[in-house]
Amino acid sequence: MAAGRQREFLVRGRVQTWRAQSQWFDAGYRVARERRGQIALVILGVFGLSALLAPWIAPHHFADQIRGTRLLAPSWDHLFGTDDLSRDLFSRVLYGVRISLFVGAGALAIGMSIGVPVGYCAGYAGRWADAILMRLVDTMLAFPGIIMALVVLTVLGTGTREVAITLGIGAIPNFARLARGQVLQEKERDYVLAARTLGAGPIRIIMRHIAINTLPPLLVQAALVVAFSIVGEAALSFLGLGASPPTPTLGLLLDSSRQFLTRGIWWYVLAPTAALALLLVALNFLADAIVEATSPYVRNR
Amino acid sequence: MLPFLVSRIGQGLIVMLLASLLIFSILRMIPGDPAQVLAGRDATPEQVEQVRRQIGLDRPAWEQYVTWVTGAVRGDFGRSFSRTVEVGALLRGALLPSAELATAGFLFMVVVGVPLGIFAGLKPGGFPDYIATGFTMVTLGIPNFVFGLLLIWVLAVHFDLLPITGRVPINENPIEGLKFLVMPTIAIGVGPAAILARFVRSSLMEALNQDYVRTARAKGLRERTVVLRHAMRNALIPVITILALEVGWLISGAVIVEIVFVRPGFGTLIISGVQFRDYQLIQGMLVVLVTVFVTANVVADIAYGLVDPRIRVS
Repeated sequence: MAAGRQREFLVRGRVQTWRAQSQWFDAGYRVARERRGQIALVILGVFGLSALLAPWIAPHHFADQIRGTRLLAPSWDHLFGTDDLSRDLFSRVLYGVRISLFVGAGALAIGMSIGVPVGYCAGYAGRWADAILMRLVDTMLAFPGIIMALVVLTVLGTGTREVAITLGIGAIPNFARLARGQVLQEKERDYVLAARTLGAGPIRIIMRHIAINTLPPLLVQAALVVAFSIVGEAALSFLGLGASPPTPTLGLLLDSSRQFLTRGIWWYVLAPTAALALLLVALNFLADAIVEATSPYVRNR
Repeated sequence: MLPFLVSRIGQGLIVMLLASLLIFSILRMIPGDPAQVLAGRDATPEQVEQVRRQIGLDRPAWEQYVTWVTGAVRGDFGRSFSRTVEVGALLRGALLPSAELATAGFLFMVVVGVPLGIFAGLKPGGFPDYIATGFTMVTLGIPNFVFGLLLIWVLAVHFDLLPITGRVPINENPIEGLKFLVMPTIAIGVGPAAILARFVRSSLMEALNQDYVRTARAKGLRERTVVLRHAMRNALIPVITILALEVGWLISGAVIVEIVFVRPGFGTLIISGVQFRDYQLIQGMLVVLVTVFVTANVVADIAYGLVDPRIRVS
């Protein structure tokens, strides 16, 4: 770090240095400086881009059957090999990742946009609102994840969109609980008192003052929720409760690969497994990197 | 001790009651008319009405709920819509295979996770610690059902060591039964074992830093005594909570891993229940699963109170 751009602050007797830039740039910079953060950003960047551009970079359409290429092992023509219906597995995995990321993003949007406000309200209002909302959250948390998902899917019916909604609903209690805990901590701080003295209403205090300070743990949770939703989508479509067959989700690929395992066709199961593993490891690394980058205790190492 | 026991069990019962209410009301939101489904597509309106009266759907919702709960307590979960048999009979049939797998998974998790965590915690940065870290990385990236597929590929197809799919009841033929149980057990147990190992590791490292450990060393006790009699006993207390939470993971894992290995059990029942929107069946299964989960938590709470007197006093 260039010396001129540093500023020193004395916080509770500890000298801390910050780069004179926005908090956001600062946090992003720290994430990108961690080794784990770098790995995560590279993998997620590549996966994100290729998911976005899948229709243009996939060598074939996911449902294209190419004559005479049934169950071929990986080669330069077919990077991940081909499946039993002569379809290019690389293209299918590419589209599968696209669906995984879509479900992850959808579940995150639902879980965060409902869970966080609920948590803020419960934490800030306290008393009976807190009691009622949190009992509800506790009841939802009392179920193991997949059980909750199955209840919701029974009601909604099956399909990719339904799976995204289900996983989003499953993420609500976690976000609510985390946001509430954060607000409980923050609302006793002096800056909240100062804002209230200046006449700020509860909504303004939460939105303008508290929200920004509760963000880091919520971002960590967000990365983990995306990872969990990607596993959930794979599991549910593997079980036949997600998308229906011509659509290539990672779970469906794994499901159809299993009857060929016994015949020694390893690339069919390996392609979706590798994609899934890279995505999950990257998301977990990202979560770790955000913890490292935003935690005040490890900041000044 | 008695008031503590009563309050914990009471709390468990309240959670169960809330959960049953939640399950009941969410499943009532399913679009479509179960009476119509049960009566068949070309039933006359009179026949549909008759079926509705038969299964009690014409009565108010709270009355249906009370009937269902009082029935469920006695093991009567009503009739399955899609299979036209008693849900209770289906559940009893599925319970044993699933319980067998979940128990094996639990044992695997403890037998692998606890020692690994202890060795990793005794020497952070040492060889066992590396194994524990590698273990965690693998389970982060590979979900249990995918792990099951990889096990089939390596152990059953490549080395031809184990049978791939199905189940032999373990009480009828223990050796064959165990063979069928090995891969599913590893598949559901690895993830929870890795989490458990990390937890035991950090808990033990914290305990080893305490003053009483230094005192024990200072008075010349052998290192083994220090670890086993002093540090370990305290380090393992918080692990009880994790064990209870992991029961939930194991149940979720068993449901899907059973499908991978084509084992009969709750997995297959749940999938068909969801696909046919058979809410009598789903309702019954959820009650059983939630009961197991809540019981595990209550038992953990009580065990916590037994080993740590501070908790049952406050």
